[in-house]
This record gives sequence, C-alpha cells and structure tokens, in this order.
Amino acid sequence: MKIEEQNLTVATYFKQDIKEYEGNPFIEALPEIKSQSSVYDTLNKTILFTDLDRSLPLEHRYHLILRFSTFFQPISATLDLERKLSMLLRSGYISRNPYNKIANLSLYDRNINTSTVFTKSFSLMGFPGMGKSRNIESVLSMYSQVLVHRSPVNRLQIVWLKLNCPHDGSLKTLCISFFKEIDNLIGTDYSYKFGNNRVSVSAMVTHMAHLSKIHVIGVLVIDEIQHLLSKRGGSTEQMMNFFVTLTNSIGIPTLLIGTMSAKSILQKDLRQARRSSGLGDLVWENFNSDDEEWDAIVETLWQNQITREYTPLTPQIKKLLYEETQGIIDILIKLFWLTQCRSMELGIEKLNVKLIKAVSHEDLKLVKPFIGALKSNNEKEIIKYNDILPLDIKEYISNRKGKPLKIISEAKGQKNISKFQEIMNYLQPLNLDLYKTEIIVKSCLYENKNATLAEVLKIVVSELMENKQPIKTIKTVIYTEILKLAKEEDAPEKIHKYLIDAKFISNPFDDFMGDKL
Amino acid sequence: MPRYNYKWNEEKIRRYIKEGRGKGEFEQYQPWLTVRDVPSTGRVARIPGTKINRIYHTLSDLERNAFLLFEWSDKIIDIREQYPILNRDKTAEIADILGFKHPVYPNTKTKTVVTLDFLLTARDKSGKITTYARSIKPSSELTDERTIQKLLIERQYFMQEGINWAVITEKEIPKVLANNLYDLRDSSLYISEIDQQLIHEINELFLNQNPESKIIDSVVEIGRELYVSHEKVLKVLHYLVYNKKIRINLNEKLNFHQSWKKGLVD
Repeated sequence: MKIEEQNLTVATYFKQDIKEYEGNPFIEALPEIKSQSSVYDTLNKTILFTDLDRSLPLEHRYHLILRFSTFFQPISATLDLERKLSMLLRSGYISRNPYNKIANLSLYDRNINTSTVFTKSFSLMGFPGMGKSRNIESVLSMYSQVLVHRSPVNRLQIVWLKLNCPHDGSLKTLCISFFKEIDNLIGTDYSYKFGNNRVSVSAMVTHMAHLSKIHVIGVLVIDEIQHLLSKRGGSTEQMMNFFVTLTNSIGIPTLLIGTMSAKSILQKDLRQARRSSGLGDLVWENFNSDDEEWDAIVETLWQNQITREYTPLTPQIKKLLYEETQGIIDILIKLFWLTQCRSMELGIEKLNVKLIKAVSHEDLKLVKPFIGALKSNNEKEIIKYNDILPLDIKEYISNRKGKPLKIISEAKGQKNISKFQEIMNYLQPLNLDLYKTEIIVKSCLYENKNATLAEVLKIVVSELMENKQPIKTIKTVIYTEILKLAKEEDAPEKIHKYLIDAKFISNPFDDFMGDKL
Repeated sequence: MPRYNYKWNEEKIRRYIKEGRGKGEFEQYQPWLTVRDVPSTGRVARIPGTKINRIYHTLSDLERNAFLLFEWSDKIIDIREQYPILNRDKTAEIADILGFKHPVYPNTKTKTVVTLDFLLTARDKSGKITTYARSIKPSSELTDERTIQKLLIERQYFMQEGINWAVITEKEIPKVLANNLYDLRDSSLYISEIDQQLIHEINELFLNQNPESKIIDSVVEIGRELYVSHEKVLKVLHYLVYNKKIRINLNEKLNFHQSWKKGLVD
C-alpha cells in the first residue's frame, strides 16, 4: 500500500536554529517550536455555542449540551506542560540521529554501547478532574503521531505513544496494548507476533525495547499510573523498573501521569531514574478560590449558555461555584452543564444561585465527600478519593434501616390462660347461662385436676346436659349455620353476611384504620 | 435445597424450625412458608416492606392487597406473614374436641403445621400493644365445608391464646385502594435519597395550592420554584400521599390531572 493511502504524513524538514538539533532528521521533521501564545490559540476550544444554536428548539438544545464534553481552555499549566514535552521529545532524539554512525549501528549490534544518552523523563500528578488526560491529549495532538522518512533515512517515526495502565495493574496487558497501539498506527502485525499470551513478559519487554528503537518512539506517555497500586506483589516494581530501563538504556523519554495516590510509586521507584532531571515534576492540585486562572475558566465557561435568557455572572455565583466545586475543573463543567439541563427541563430558561445550589445538592451528591475532603484540606482525606466514587444505589437503599422498636412481641400476659378460661372459650358460642356454666366448669375442674382439657370438657358437657340446658354440640353454631346456608341460593353472599354478623369476618378498616382514610 | 421438592415429612418440619422459621419479629422474622416452598395456585409476590426493611412473601393477590392495607395502617407496627402454629398437639386437641379431622400434608400422614396468613402487632394511641390474627380467604371459598372446619380450628386456637382472630375476604379490601397503595409505596422505599428538609418544603407548598388548579400543574409549578425535577416532586407527592400528609381520595383510581378540589378528602 502506498504511504499516501495510509494517511501517514511524509516528513518535511525544518531548519533548526539550535546546534544540538541541527542535522537530525527526527527533530527537523517535528513542527517548529511554538511560542506560548500560538500554543494557546491552537488548543483553545472554548466557544461552543453561537446565537443560532441558542435559537434552536428545546429538544435540539439538549443535544447541544453534549458539546461541553469538548470544552477545553488552556491554562498556564497546559503551556508549561507543552513546553516541557517539547523539550523532552527533542532531548530524546539527540542521541538517536540516523546520520550518526554509532547510533545507527546500535540498532543491529548489541556490543555498541550508547552511553551518551541523556534522556529525561518526568511525571505529572494531580487531583482527579483537573484535566490531566485532557491536557496531555491536546498537547500531543499538536504533533503528527507518525512521520514517514523517505530515503536516505527510510524509517517510520512514531513521535508519541500514549498507553493507559491496565486497571488491574498487569504488566502483560500493558505490553500487549503497546503492540496493538503500534499496529493501529502503522499497520504492522506485532501484536500477533509478540503480543500473544504465550510470550513471557520479559520477552515482550525486550521486543518493546527493540520496536522503540526501530520506530524511534519520541515519547512514551503512560496514563493512570495509579492502577499499578491495585496489584499486589512485585509487579509495581517490575513495571517501574521497566520504565526506568526504557529511559536509561534505550533513551526513550517517558511521561508518567497519575492521581495523587501514584505519588508513592513515583517517589519510591523513579528516584534513580530522575537524576536531577531538570524538568521537574508537575503536580496539579485544585485551584485556590483567589486564583486568577480559576476566575478565567469560570468566566469563559459561563459565556457558554444555551438557555434562552443570558444570565450575567455575579460575584455571588462565582463564590458559590467555587464552594460547590472546590476548584476542580471537571466538576465545575459538569455542574454548569447539569444546571442548564435542569433549567431547560423546568422551563425557567435562566440561571441563578438557588438553582445551582439545588442541582449541586442533588446531582453531585456522589462527589460531595470528595469535595468535603478538599474543603478540609487534609491530604490524607483527599487521597482516599482518588478515583471517582462509584454510583451505588444499593448502598442508599441498604441505608434505610428500620428503627428498632422495643415492644413486647406477643402480649405475654394473655398467653397463660387458665384451663377454666379455655373451657369457657369453647362454651362461649353456646349462649349458655353464664353464671350457671361457670359454677359447673369450676367444680368439674376441681374434681378432675389431672384430666386433660378434652376429658374435662366432656364431663362439663354431660353435666350441662343433665342440667337440662338446650345443648348442641360445641361445633354447631357457626358450622351448622354455614352448612345450612350453603345449600341455599346466593350462598356465598348469605354466608358472607352471616359471618360478618357472627364476628367471624372482621373489617380491617374498623380494626386498624381508625375513622380516617 | 431443590426448588420443587414440596414433599412434607417430620424431618422437614424439624429442619424449618431449626432454620428459625416463624421466629423473631420485625426485620428478623422469617415466614414459615416462603414463595419458594409452595406450589402456589395464586400469584405469589415478594414485596420489600416500607415500614420494616425485609422482603414479605405473599401467596396470592388477595394476600398481597391485605398486606398493603396492613402496612399502610398507622396502628400496625409489625406484620408477620405465614405464621406457623408450631404446637401441633394443641391444634390436634382442638380438632378432636370440635370433631374435625386435623389437616395433613397431601399424600402423607404428617399433621400439617397450621399456618396463619397474618399475625399483626398493633399499637393504639395510648401505646397499648395488641396482637391480631387474620386469615385471608376469598368469600367464594367460605361455602366449602372443609375450609370452614380449618378456619374454626385456627379460630379456636387463637381464642385460647387470647388473640383476636377473624377472616378477611376480598369484599373487605377495596381493590382500587390496594392498587393505589401499591403505586404509591415505591416512593417510600427510595425516599431516603431525598432529604427531609426538601420534603418538608414541598409539603408546605402543596398545602398552599389553589384548590381550582390541577394537581399535576402544581407539581410542575413547585419543581420550578425549588429547581427540582418534576419526577422528584412527583415522587415526593407520592410519598406525602402515602404517608397521609396530603389526603387525596384513594378509593378512586389515582388521577393527578384533576383539580385539588376534586382530589382532596376533607
């Protein structure tokens, strides 16, 4: 396939003013070193909506809200990052000049030691939501990723390669993604050759080193470095050693990015790798409330209103926005966007303090603890919240704990009913003369202390019979009545009515509802 | 345990007792029969409680409706469904005295553990605790001789325990009300996500609505006023109606498109 068809850029060479960079095609092919202001202009993506957008019907405007995910405003930290990256990139190529005999031979001959390497690497740490990945991606996008060098160099140059640390911290997965990434760029089949599971990690690392040499990778960016912490055992060390090897022996600059929890890894393992690197490490913390840059971001963002009515930014709103987001850019953008959504939903079509409060209170519930930690300004607290809190509805539900009530379960006083009472219960439906019956039952019980209930009952019944009481068998009253009614027409209705009168059926409203409904 | 082994024997009963079925109260209570243990002819349901945080097992729609009603009552503080009478000697004695055959499990000689549909614990205003026993039966089944016999055994047992026992049929439970309660109760399950302050505010606003305006319009209105989504306001409205803070007539199918004047109960 022709190079042009593969959408690869053919290198054009710029004359360099710096002596070290002169005559090195890998450096000359890079875009010229930009001034800060031109970097800013290239990266700025802050104007999202036009007047035309604002005049669209509601449903369309909902869709426009998604544009906020592309919102990007360079800050001084971005420019700083860009400057460092462009130094890093070029410094790595100094020792890899294809016109330099030694550097060239070292590709094939292992005996040649390229000890003249003076590569640097640095790391970037920061709070989640401060736009680390977003920034680095924008900065990298200023460079074409692959450059084709025609004769006499004859090489495919990969300017940068960005990998994400696998979430389980597995080194093998990282290696495989390295091969895949290169395959995607230049259409090779390295992942098939080297990146299958039969290849051991150490072999993969060797292949990676080799490929990095062949394709003159300018800078290797590893994001989400804190995932290394999730794996126990020596793999963290192994991975860090690998990065160090890459930097020191092959001369490929690496840039490691991670949240604050990655601090421990970087400090422990990279000490020997960063021998006074001179580039220093970047740490991005949240903005202070009086930070001018924060103000700038808020103001730029605020202009992007999609609601019908434009709401001016008051100092009061500014203060609130800082309080609710604690200077975390990502949360600010989300809050602003959700507020507008809510405003359109409710048909208010403008913004105000109360609305922002309500939205923050409800929709940002999950980041509240994180914000609280920031407010407390306690680093230990903050480190807890390095990854975005998961949405866990279940937890909310399980928090609904019924209030323990101390009650006596079954009214125990009612339980120990005397034999006498039991017998009286049996006799109750017979509508006997109560006074007479009581005397008979009591005397029977007295005479037959050791008899079972059934026996006593039989005696009682026979006694009652002797007393010429109009007696039916005990089961009669309700039972016989029902049997009689069952033979008639409309049996169910009649029985139902009869059972209500007999208090056999009871209406729950009378029992439990009181008079109100 | 295999799901479709419904065969009963003494050993199974012993095992159930050992598992603690029929024991405990509130969250700890375990019904004697769960939805899984019965080849039910009706529609079984597992319902999460709004008062007590556990799953309730009902074995028919009628039982479900009764349960919803009990749970909605202010007086009832605990509901124990499928409550077993483990003292089978007692039920046998009662059956003997009444002259009925004690029920046995199908195709066995094992005496059935008589199971009451609902044992209710109620507390009245003065704080007095009373226990009620309630059996749920479709009125059409009350013509059946054997059904009546079994009910009489139950009744006699609870009478002797000094517990108020009665039957409830579908005629005592308004279907419309039960269905409304079923629709409204969900809000109570998830309300913990909304803070009490907001609920209180929304309640105040609802109480000051123009009686001529439609209920649904008030929901939209309040959402706008407090910057809360309509769904949430509606959920809170459900919650308030279910908890009797707003008294909408529940004997008709819920209709929030009518005016407050029509919907409210005096």
